[in-house]
Amino acid sequence: MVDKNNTKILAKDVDVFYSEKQALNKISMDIKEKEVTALIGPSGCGKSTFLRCINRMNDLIEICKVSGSIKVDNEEIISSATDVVSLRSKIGMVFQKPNPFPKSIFDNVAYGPSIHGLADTKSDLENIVITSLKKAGLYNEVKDRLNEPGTSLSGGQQQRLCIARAIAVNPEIILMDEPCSALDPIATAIIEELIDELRLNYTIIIVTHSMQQAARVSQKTCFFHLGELIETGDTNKIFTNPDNTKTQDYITGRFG
Amino acid sequence: MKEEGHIVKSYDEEIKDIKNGIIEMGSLVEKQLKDSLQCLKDKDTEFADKIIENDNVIDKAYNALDQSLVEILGKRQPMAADLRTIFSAIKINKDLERIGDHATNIAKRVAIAEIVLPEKPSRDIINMGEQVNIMISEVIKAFLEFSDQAAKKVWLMDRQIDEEYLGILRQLLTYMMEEPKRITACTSLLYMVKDLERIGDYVQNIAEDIYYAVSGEPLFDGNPDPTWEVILPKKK
Repeated sequence: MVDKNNTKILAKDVDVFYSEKQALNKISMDIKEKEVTALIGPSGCGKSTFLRCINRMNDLIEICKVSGSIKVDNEEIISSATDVVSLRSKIGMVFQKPNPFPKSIFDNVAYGPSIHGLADTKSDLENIVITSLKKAGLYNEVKDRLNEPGTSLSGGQQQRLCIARAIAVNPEIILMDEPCSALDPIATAIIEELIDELRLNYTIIIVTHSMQQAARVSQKTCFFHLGELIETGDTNKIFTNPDNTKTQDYITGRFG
Repeated sequence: MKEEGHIVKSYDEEIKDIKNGIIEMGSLVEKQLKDSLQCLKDKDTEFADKIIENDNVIDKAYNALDQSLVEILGKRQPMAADLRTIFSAIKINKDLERIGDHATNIAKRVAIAEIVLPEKPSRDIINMGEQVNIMISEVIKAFLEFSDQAAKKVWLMDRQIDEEYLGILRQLLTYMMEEPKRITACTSLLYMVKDLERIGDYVQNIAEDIYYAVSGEPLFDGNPDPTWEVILPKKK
């Protein structure tokens, strides 16, 4: 299969150390734009660590050292010269547990665009909030209670609120770290449907513990094990006929 | 078929049960064909009735295995080699059930035959049937060994069956042309030989499914089916 999409993120020989302990070993990866790439592997394999390299979240951990190269739109981001604030406005992130701010539904979404100065007027801001809530498939459920606290929503709604908040600053990439693991099957299905819609406009990288979820939502899958990238390829190929025995054993439930 | 090694031990057991189910289906239809050929040989219409009755046993085994397969799909959501194996087992079970039907058809023809079946083509059909039965037992063996190469070998055996089918077909046509009063008897034989030819094709399907389950690749030989080379007029 020929990739019709351009490279969005290009990682080369990425090493990550937590003090002496190596968490990632020479990871190289080519992530295409407007595709969903799933990162799978057992706990502690380094998939979340890799995800957090992409928006420089690992900077927040003092003992963490990242080396190698990651280019986003051909620009190096593993560098002291990188403008981390503008990088993070380009890359939204959604976490395992929905974490709305202790503010109203409206303010949760408005917060990002306000601090990044994306709206000149109040009605501009309103537009951004409404559009983002619509894109996140939440608007119809909350349009009559935008002033209620974000924490009053159900888990699945909170997660969609976090997605709305992430896309409100107009990012190009969305990182999702197990976005459905705290949700029930219906809320999960709604998020998965949303991911399918979002991929028309965004490059999405999702860490998931569920191979079935990776199979459902992603076009590319990368299997990590003990800090190494074992296999990467078309999702359809990986879950029907992976090349590597370790991948096979992991996804068929033979070790973990 | 690799069933062992799952973290959840009961999953291993379930795959083992599926494997045993396929083997049971295989031996049931092998026996069905063997009996049908025997009753054709002996022109034993009473035995033929028993064989027809026995088709129920095959259908029951088919339904039971089908149910286990749908349960394992829903419960385990198999992946990779497990997924290919279960997916293939679903198709193999269905094809074995169809083989059982075709084997039963032969007994049905014997049961209603109030006519004398000509000796020579009957004998040839029995010979062909025995070869088809070897294919069935070989393909079940290939499944048991989970061997793509063994499956391919069985797949190729169908060439010979197709050629014999055409040979008997020509023979029967000649019989009928020479003596129109043999048409009724020969038509019965014609149906039987067609049943055997179809069984050969189902065995080929099963071989393809095993090949895919083992290797993840489709078994494609690239050569056209020889049956068509003979039956269809050559393109100019």
